[in-house]
Amino acid sequence: MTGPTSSRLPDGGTRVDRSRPVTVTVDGVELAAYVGDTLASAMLAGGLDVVGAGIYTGRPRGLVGIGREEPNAWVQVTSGTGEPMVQATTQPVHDGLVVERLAGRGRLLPHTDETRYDVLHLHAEVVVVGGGSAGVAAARAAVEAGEGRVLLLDDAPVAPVIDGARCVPDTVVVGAHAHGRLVAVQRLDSAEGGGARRLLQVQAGRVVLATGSEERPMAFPGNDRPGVMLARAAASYVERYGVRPGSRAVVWTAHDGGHAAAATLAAAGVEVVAVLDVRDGDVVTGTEGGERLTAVHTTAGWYDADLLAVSGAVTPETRLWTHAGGTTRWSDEVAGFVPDAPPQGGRFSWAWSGSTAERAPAAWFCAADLTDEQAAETYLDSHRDATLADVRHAVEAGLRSVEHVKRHTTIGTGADQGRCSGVLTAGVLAELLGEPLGRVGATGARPPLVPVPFGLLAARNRGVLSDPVRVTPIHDRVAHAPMEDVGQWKRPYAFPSVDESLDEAVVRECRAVRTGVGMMDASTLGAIHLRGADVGVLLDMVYTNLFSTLAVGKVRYGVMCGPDGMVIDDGTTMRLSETDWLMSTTTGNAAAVLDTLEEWLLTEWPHLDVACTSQTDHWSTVAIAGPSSRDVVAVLAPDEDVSAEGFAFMTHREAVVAGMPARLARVSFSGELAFEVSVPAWYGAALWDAVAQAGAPYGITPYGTETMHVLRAEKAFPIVGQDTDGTVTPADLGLGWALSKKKVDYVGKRSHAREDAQRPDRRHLVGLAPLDGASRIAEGSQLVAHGADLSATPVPMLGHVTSAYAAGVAGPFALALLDGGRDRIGEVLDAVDDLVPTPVRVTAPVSYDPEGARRDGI
Amino acid sequence: MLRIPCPHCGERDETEFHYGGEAGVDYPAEPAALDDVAWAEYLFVRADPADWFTERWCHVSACRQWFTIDRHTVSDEVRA
Repeated sequence: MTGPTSSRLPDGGTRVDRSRPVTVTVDGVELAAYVGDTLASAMLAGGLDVVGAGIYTGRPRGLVGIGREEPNAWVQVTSGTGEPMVQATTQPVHDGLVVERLAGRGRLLPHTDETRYDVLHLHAEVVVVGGGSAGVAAARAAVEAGEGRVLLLDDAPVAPVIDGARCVPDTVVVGAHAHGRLVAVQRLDSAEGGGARRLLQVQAGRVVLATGSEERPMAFPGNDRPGVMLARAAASYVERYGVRPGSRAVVWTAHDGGHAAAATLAAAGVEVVAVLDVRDGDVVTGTEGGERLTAVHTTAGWYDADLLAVSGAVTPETRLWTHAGGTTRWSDEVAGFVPDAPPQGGRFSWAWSGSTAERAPAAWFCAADLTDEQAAETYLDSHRDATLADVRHAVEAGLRSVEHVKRHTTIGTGADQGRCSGVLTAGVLAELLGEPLGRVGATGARPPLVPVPFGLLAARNRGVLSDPVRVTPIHDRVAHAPMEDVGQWKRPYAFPSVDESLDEAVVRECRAVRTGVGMMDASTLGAIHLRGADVGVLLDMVYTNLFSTLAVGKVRYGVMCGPDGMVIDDGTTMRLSETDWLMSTTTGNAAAVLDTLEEWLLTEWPHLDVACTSQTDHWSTVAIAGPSSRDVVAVLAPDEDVSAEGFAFMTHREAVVAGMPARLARVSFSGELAFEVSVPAWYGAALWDAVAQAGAPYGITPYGTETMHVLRAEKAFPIVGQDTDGTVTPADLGLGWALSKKKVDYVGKRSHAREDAQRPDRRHLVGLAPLDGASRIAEGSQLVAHGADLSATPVPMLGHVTSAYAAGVAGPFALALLDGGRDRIGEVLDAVDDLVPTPVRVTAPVSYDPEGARRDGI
Repeated sequence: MLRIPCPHCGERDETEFHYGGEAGVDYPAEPAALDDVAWAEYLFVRADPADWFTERWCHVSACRQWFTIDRHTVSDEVRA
């Protein structure tokens, strides 16, 4: 590598502030720069010839471009919060910026991205993208026409100033979407080095894309040598940053713009030894040099040079145009693709200050007669290390479409989105196929225009703000316990004492409920209040069993299916009055069930008199479960007859509980005698305290979700979404009794009548017990034949474990869905987790109190 | 981002809505009278034109009402 020698001109540079020097460090080498420099201009000024290496070849690569077209100068930022794969040509410098050069691939940050990100929504009648002359003219015209709010988004560090328009600098529009929506990324404090960025969600009435031009190279053997640059880019380093990109240059062009670039370089003191034009028949045939160009071979002779400035064409940047749905066409006038049919009914238009060619440009890409050896060192995409030889192979393999060649060669799939390689490759392909370029076409561009950090898309919705956290009014009383996420809710998993493991706590809590009494915060269960004359009719349709006959004061369990007959929810519904009902849903399913009910009511049965109201947050509910629960409830509600005869199973009533207005229900999710007490939400903590106090003499034990799960699994009460997966019918779960034969119809009934729904070998819910009585069964294990050869391909899968627990009444156990499971009870299978088989015996799903003898207490 | 014209609330961002698929697929009056093929047609078979398409949306984040719009599936143009 050449040592850093300054190529900075004594003056000039429209973007740099020479009164504000900064220092940046590239692989340990300190480079002097100014505020306003990009990392690339700082590297060029510091004489750093090698800015990266080939991703596969490891070949040294130099700076080619000045903006988003740059294929080689991608770095890993290691200062500040760090960032992988940063394009040096678009990264502003700041004091203390430290980077490492890369070989085409960055490293993910090993830590959370701490960059400050935010989001801002903007609305404007007219949005202009680009702050060049065409953009400024379009914005001025919109202001003068009185079109309303005019917003100009400019990717330059200083935006133009236009009276009556809002102009935002340092902002790259990364996506143009349907209905005039733009997404942009704004750098907020780049000179200070904060790295903060803001995502702009912009809703536009109409959009003018004034996104300027992009320059295209031409290809030749040895074209990836450091010192080979785009000509207009080389000249722009002089104009913008006062940096001379070389000392002795050959300029090679296919259009008049290359001659203008040569003049700019010469004026900056670069010795321009030759200006060669394809239109005059001059072609570059090779290069010499190691880590920097030393000589250029051409059809006009060879030249000593450390800079070869190449320009194939300068054409409109059309990526946002195609994002928005616009098409492009080939134009001989600019030797490139230009916008054609405007997208979105004319909502998008484009403005371009255009090419000033005096002579028609040549659409020249690469010499056609290169040998295989030459083709192998003619790079069409140096970012992907792909050559002319690769494209020739693709065509020989029979590929014709430019999109297929892209995927075969990976040309254009890099982080630079193939800005230098896309049209070049299409041109080469057209020549190889002997087809006009307009028919070959260009590959499509997709958002985002430039790489965007995931953290920016999330903006502030990260960490605790990524999803709402819901807690019940009882939360403060249980917050000391380890929590489990259930949907958006935080629920206590179990209540281990200081000298207890989680498993031990669950065993203790289960024993308390099975032999004494336990209490649980059950407030998270979904609650939907249904009111109207026709609630019974609705429930008869959405539940598989009969509900319209339910008497006031009674509770009934129901299973809900989709039209395809698969279980979508279950729960109990109580009838509060002739016209008022309260439905409970699975905790994580409350919103979806409400959506389902409302969809049926609004779209299919609008004649039904039913109104639905979500009441989940209106009630605090404590479940009191266990043989002693009746004694505890008797203390809490001394006015109520809570005897087995006076308060029957599956009934409810209004009551005063510990002085609070409450609804008492006798429902059970554990098989034990149990009550649920619901009070207005704000009484939740008081209710919890009252139950704890009343239960203290009976040793009442708070229990968590894991204990609840063990207790319900021993009774084979399914959890929808855990023991079901959208392919499970009520009959598969052993709930065939809940399928009404009397009702003419319910949602799912026709599907349940299908032959497939009746197959005896469907997956049934069964129980599993480890053969040795002690091994834990892993949730999600696949079930295979006992002793099956796990190296066979494939191993026949018989089912899978849906729920598994360390300690039921008889040790570890599980629930599983198993092919023809009800006919396999007693069989031995292997439950395989991570290739480790655990022998298990298939059991009936209910492993505790199958007679239901404990429901009324003991 | 589609802008969906809710007949009750006006034009709003797509993120406020749930998509409901093809409109006009009514729940059969007598499901039991349908053979398996006809029932499967109701359950699963939907039109997918590269053309104008009448589809259902629900404004779940606001009025929660269901309605239909016509959308061109290629250009995304929307007609209320």
